Amino acid sequence: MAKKVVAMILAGGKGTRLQALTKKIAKPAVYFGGKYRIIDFSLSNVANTGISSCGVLTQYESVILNNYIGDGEKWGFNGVQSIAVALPPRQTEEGLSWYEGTADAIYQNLDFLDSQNPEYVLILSGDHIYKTTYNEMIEVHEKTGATCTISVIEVDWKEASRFGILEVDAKDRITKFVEKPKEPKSNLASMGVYIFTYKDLKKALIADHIDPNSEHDFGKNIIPAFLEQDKSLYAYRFHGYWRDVGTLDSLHLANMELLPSKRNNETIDFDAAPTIFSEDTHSLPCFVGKSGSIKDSLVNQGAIILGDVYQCVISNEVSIEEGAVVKNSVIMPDVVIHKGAYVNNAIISPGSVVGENEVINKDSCEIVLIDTERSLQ
Amino acid sequence: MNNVIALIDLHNTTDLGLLSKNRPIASTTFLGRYAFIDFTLSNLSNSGIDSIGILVQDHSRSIIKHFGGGKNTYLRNPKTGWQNIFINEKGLLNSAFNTDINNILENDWFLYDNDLKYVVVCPVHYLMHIDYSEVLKAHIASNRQVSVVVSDVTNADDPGLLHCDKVTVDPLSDVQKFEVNDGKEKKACVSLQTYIFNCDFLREVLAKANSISLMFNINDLVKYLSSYLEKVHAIKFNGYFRRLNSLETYYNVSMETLNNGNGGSISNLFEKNWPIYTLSHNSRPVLYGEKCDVVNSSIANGCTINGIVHHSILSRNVIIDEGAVVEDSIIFTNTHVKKGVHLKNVIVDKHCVLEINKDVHGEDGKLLYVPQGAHI
Repeated sequence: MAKKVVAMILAGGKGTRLQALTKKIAKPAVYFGGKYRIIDFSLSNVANTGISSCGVLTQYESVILNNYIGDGEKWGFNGVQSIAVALPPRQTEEGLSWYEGTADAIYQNLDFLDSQNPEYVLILSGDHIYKTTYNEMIEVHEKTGATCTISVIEVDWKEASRFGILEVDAKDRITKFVEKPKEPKSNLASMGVYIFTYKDLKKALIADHIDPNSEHDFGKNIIPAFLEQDKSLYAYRFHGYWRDVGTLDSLHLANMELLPSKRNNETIDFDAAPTIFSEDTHSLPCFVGKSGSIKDSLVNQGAIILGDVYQCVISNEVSIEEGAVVKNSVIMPDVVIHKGAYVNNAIISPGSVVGENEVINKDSCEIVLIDTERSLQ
Repeated sequence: MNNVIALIDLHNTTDLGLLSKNRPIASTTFLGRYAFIDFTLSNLSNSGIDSIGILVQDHSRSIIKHFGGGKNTYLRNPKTGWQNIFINEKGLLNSAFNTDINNILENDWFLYDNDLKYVVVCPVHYLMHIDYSEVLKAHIASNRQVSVVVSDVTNADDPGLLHCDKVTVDPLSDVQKFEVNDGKEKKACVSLQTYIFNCDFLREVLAKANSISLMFNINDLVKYLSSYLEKVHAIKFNGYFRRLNSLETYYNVSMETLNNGNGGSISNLFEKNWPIYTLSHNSRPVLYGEKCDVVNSSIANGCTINGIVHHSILSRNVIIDEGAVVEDSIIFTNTHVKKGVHLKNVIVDKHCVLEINKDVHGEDGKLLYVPQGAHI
């Protein structure tokens, strides 16, 4: 059965700037918001759009991510005529090759796309935090009959040189694409969300594959090549909350934005439809003990709070013992913070232990990362 | 274990007063996240029993709602295992004949499976962590046709154990007699209403059951067998269990989980290697506001708390506004407690809105129940 739209989520990156957090897991699998993993947002967005075929391209430390995706049951991709599949690099007749760029990753899975026989392909990055459906963008793409539609967000002019910047005409047709321009002429940044008409994409990927000078990247090669060929490419303006949590600071900040005191009209509202789906752990509800206190925080089930918690995002199976004080921090699953410890401005990676009376980052505004190995020292 | 099936008996249960007026105890909320039947199903799953029939007496809607998609929730392998809801349709119109035995007779296809050797019958109104594979081993070793799980207690006068069956066990570990626990003595050996039958024997007995009495249930049948036909083996269980038989015991057992430090340490009901499975609702983590004051409480995902919550249990998606006070109370899913309301010793059912600026509490420290959907 032909599918109108198939989604492909790029989830192979390491996320080097997240330091030790991505030592053993890929960035899309990093925990976020006490309950979620970063990729839950893209997968839920795809599911909520009504797209029933979704490939997830994995590469770096792919085991945990592949296992997490499973048969897609967490996001409802296990229904009839639905499929979610992790697509790590594989050995083929042509040999074994790693994904050498975003475009190459899709090229190597053209057989999957062919098997789904879509009209359009939605290509997403698996490491952005936002809640949306892509229906309107698909409609726009259909209406313009474009080869490619790129989702853009207006960024601060000062920040514009950090992004891939699109220049557009009065009808939002893209005239130029510049990766990280020194002197930006527009503040429309690409979100790394593309809709391609599949037959055009397939041709372009095959041509790109045999080009020895190509880096096989959508932003650097595929999009500029389309523009050179004078194909019609349109920008779709996205409004709302969208975060790239590529660094420890931005990951910490995006978590803190979920707290009651920091929320505003734009912040992701988990209660309103559409729902962000995730794994439901077999945890007891959150327990706050007689000695515990929580203020201005987001705390997942399975947490046991016997100490003082102020402005924190806390995951499942976290234990904060009596007399411990935890402030302005992101605590990932299975962390134990022992009696009398003091934690401030920190991201504590999964499974870490903070010792009795240990002091972490007192009187510092910088965000520190605590990982399991440090605790073993 | 493919030669064992379990039947979860929702016929011979207790009731929890107003709480179970419109729902069976099996699907009643416990600790803000679970239904009582989750414990039975998780015990079975953790014991490796993957073929399960649920004998539903009434209120099948809430059971089906909870288990419609439950195959992946509780079974280890939803393809090789099975989980079915058994309803005695003939009995629906005549409650006297709507017994668990007639339900089994109506749905007896599973008994024709030649590989089937043992049938375990489990209750839902006993909260416990029990390894049925151990119970089965004890049954098989006994060489008896039927066994009952029993426990020695020193609190037989506890209201929760009133009117349950107690047994006298002989030196060969067979039941000498069944009696009703009148609560006059503290020490007793009580039945946990959990039975293991050899399947061949059960087939024979069921064939005769209606000629003995059309209104017998499994408890009656086992007592009858023990008196006249067959020795019933007693298997001692030494772990934690609580029997629920009223609104008050429901409240007390719930609060006991808080008093013992936290839900995780209530005896061995919750252990890391013995997960309790339940349905997923995709609720977000709990939002604790800047001015909230939460102490000694269990809070399920989806809640938003800006007021005071002391010594209480909150289910999913409960909202406590700033200026509201909740003490010694249990609040069910989707209830909203607004500014100025003070709850003490109250069980508030689902979908309530409490907004009138006043104290809501039972007389003389007694428990007050606010029914589902109330708008006060």
